[in-house]
Amino acid sequence: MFLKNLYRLLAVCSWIAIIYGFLMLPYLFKDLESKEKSLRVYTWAHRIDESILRDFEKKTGIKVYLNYYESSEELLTKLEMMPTADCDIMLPSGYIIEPMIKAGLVKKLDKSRCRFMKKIYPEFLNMYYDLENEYSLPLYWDVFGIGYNKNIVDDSTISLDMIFDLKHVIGGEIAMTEDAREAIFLAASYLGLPLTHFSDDQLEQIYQLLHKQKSWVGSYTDSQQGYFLSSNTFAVVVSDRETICRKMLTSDFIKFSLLPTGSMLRTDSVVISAQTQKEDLVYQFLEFLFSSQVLQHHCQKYCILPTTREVLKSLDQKYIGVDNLYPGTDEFKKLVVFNHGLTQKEINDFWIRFKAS
Amino acid sequence: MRFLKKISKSDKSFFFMAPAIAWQICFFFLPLLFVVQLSFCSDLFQNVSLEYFAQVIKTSHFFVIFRSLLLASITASCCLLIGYPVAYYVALCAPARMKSKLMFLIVLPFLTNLLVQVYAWFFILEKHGVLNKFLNFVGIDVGHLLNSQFAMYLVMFHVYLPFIIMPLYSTLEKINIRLIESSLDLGASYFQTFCRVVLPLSLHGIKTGFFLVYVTSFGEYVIPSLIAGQKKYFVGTLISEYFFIGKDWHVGAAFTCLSSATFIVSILIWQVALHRLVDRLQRA
Repeated sequence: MFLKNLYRLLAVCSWIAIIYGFLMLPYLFKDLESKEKSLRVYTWAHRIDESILRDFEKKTGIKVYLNYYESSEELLTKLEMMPTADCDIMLPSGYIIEPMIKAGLVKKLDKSRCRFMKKIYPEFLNMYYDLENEYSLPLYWDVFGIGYNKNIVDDSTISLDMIFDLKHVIGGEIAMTEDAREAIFLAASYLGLPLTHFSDDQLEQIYQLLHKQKSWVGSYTDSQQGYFLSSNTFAVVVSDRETICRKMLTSDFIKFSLLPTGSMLRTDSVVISAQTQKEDLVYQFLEFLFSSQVLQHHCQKYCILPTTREVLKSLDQKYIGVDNLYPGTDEFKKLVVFNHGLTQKEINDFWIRFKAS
Repeated sequence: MRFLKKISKSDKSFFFMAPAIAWQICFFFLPLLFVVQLSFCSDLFQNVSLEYFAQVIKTSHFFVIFRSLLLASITASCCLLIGYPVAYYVALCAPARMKSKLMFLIVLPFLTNLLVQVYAWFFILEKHGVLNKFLNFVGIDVGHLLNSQFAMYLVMFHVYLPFIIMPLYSTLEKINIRLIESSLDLGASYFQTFCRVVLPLSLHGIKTGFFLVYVTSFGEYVIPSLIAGQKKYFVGTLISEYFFIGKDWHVGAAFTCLSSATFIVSILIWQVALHRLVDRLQRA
């Protein structure tokens, strides 16, 4: 009996060892890969075009591997939970850079190697999450506002009332953002609360407003707003500009507007992973990403906005979607950098409570 | 060599079963153990406390679990009600040459990606979609079909139906048709024959199919997110929120354990309920 059990145990253990061996295989290839001239880039979808990377690869001999994530929090979780994850460059949203710096996940930039930095609008530099731009450089920017069907909605009626007051909700339902930060920002703006700090009472007011709003929200989404407008599912959607702008290129009845009370500004910045040993290649790639030709290509393909003066000014209006949206203009002055003072945990708890109810 | 000779034939065959056991240990039992320890311990197998459970024992979290149980129960019940007659027809009534063709049609959705199936429903359920146009044509105005509970249950039913038909079909097909003929010859009605002969013999298939749908739909993530408008969290979405967005692994693990425990209890209840249902029908 003992022999039988021993044999069975050995059989299972040997198979576990075989499975473990297979799991270790990537590490063998990793050693081979590290000898290769390559870069691993963590980015959002719709930010870097793989076809244009082929030119870079041909020109420099550096192979670029793109890894995608769906949210900045997901990127942070991946990096914190897998410290050995092979990563050289990341393209996160601005607000997540602060926790990344605190967690020691990013490396200081060598500004002497960032000649392109002078092309960036100063309005996008020195943000609260990286005051001296020691770790990050903004590459793209965008704004949140309202996408709408201009055949149904009058431009002059655009306000927060049409998403928070049922009397003004056109068509009885809207699509709301799935992002907790944006929802809190919008609700706080509607309630006239200060956007820099929230007391418990104020947070409760925001919760109650969003809870009330739930009954006329058809969908909470971060990706389907364009579809909802083009299919006439909703006449009004809360969305970022780029999603609506991409749809505007094919549907002439769709429009995007900033909020009169102020729209939230978002930046996507480039940061260098703390563990990268390939700094020469990294700066070569950054030079490539910030080059006018590449930025122009990405901005036209994905309707994202560049942070560099030269490219933004030369961009056709149809890729911007909002009149006169350049740093320094009155439209641009409506934009707000939302530094809410809430911790990530507070935001998550708020959103879980809201969605679980 | 002597050692190997002592190994019986059954033990040698065990060696080939061992990969499955090793796989389960590596990718199910060890991760499960890890999740359980995460829910109790703040450090690896140290500082045991119920702190994380205290954080998830809230009415709102029980609502989420209840919502998922309801989703799983309704989906599995609807699939059983519709899937059983279909499996019955294919297994016992359809001509032999048609069986494989019919089964192919049932399995066909498996050949397409789940996301493709879900997005295809968008075009059927949207405001100007096929279903709404038809309903408007016959004078019924149902408003928005997409982003509703109805849409979610409909898509869940469509996606999971083959999961119940296949085990039911394989069980029903094994029933000796002579038993049914004998019952009818001895004077039992079709209904009596069904309740007293077919149903008890297919109980194993009913349970397999039902729980296959029940278990998988309990943790469903994609369909409630895409079709129901993400207005409310289900177990799958809340666990993902805790692990990937909130990075609150301990609380996420505690919620996973809590929902799993509730889910196991619900399985036992359904198990008893299914047995009782079949017993009652048998006595009817």
